[in-house]
Amino acid sequence: MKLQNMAVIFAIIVIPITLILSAYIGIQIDTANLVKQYDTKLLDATHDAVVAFQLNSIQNNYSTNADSLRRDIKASINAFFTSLATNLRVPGENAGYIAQYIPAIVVTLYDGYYIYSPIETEYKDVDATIKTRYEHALKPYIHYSLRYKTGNCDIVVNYSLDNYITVYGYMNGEYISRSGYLIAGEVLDDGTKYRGVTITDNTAIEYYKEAKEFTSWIKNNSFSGTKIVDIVVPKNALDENGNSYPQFINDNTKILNASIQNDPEDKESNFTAHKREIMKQSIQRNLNNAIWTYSNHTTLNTDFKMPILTQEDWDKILSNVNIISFMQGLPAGIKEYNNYAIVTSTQNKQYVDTDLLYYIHDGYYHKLECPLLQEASGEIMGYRSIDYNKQRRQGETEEDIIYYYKHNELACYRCIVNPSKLEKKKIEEYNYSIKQAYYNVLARERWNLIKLNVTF
Amino acid sequence: MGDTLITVVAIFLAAILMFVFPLMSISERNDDISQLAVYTATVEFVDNIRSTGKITLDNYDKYIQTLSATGNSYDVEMSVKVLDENPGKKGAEASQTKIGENIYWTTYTSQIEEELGVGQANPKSTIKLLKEGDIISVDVKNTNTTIAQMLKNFFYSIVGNDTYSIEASHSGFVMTNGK
Repeated sequence: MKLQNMAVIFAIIVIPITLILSAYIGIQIDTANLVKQYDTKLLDATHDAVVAFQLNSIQNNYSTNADSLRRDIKASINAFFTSLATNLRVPGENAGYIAQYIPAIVVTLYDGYYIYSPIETEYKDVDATIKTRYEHALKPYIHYSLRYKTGNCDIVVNYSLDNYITVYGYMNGEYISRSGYLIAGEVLDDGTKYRGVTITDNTAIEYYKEAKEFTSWIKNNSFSGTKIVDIVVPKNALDENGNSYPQFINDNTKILNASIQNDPEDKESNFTAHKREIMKQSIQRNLNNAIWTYSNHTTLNTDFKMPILTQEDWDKILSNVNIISFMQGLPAGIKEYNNYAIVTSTQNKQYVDTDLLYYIHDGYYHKLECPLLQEASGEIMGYRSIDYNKQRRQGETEEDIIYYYKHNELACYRCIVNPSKLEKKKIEEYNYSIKQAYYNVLARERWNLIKLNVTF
Repeated sequence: MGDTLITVVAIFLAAILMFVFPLMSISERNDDISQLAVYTATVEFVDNIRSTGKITLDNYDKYIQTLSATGNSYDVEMSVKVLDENPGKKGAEASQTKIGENIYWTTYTSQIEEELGVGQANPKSTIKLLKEGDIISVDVKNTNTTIAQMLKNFFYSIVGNDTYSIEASHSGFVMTNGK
């Protein structure tokens, strides 16, 4: 065979292989690029939802009211869909197309969470017959709660992101229902001294007085010989079907026995560990149900499944108000997209985050651990981070918008504007003035949080 | 004489078809794959910073290692635009009907690397915290000449011998305060 013929045969074999291989790699690359772009778009849309929630709830004085809160959350979910649809280039009427790929959105709040997912709804067809279909809706609020039952005692404890709890149910036939803050450490009965520090703020005094009384009621009040603290142990916990939790079966820890060793405000305490476990399980179970239900009723060929969240994700979710969005089944090249995004809210009226309390010193506001604040002495004032933000109100006419600040101090350049990693100490290790400011601010801001009436 | 010339030309064409064309094609795909790896790593690195509010030495090292694993050398340019609302606040004090103007100042790669303690024996800190509203931007380009670039330059490129072929950039607002 001539050399030219061999070359032609070689070319006939090699060129198609090379071309097909190139095209295949090209498609794989496009797919991977598209997946990454979707990741960013999902994250951005979730962030837009958080910002919308913050804007609406901070400016809304009734945002802690249940109906008003639902409205704010629905508005933030709308912002999510609008943002996502615009980013994915399907705006306008077609935006609903995106919704079918969103099996669930979770909005975690102070003492529970909302799930926005498709549920069965009834509608009237053109021939006036009632039919059912699955469409997205905001489901009822779910509390972070757990039932404890032993003997004649059957109570439910609702937990929150901090040390606020609600206890209700029957203690030896007697119905109880009460909410309050569980605190550890020495408090004077009139609330004017906490852990050796004089409390000066009147609201804070109310907080400590009430918290001490509530903690004492949990620990010492006897209901026909039984105390609440003895009932709330993990081994007595029951799930919604009335079965014990296998992982708690040998756990006799008295969760509500607040003490220096089991400080409800300490992130390492038994109380916090148990509470986080309950929150995690509750979200996992209900979210799994929501996604699974949708998977069984969707017209898409996608098998919707709840992804496994990492420990870092859970730390985020259980630390403040969050929005978690899931997107699955969206065609992405030769694959189906499947991922989630979590964005934490830093500015909301739902929860007092100790890291977001800023203290005033020398014309600037600082974080607790800022070296410049350590020089302060005397009485230091502190407020929540949102109180330093710009506020707006309407003037005499509709067009007349007035911007103002509640506090005119500027942000510290060392710890807030350009923060550097500062050593965090336990609150007991700070000087007296800072400790006093911290206990006053934290108590005042917590007391001022309006909580929903959660007992039945 | 005529046959010999045709044979030489045929051998030359055959060599190009048999070796150079597949080599170019495969090396270009190799660059595409490197491009994908670099783009993916950059988006992950930046989005992680945006959602956690911090740059850690650990994550930065992992990012640089992922880039190196593609077999090329890269020039990584980072910038953080730090939001300063204080001037706006001062401005707003003068007039209640004005929102006031915020400013950004920028820190660049060498400053960020210094804060992260890159190349330092006992760094003071290995974390750079950011806050909500800051802007992080990362831009990466290859600095070596890849095989695909060499072949391209040899055969049909006249200008731009020193241009990069692998490039990725990603940026965005930081979504939360770093802790």
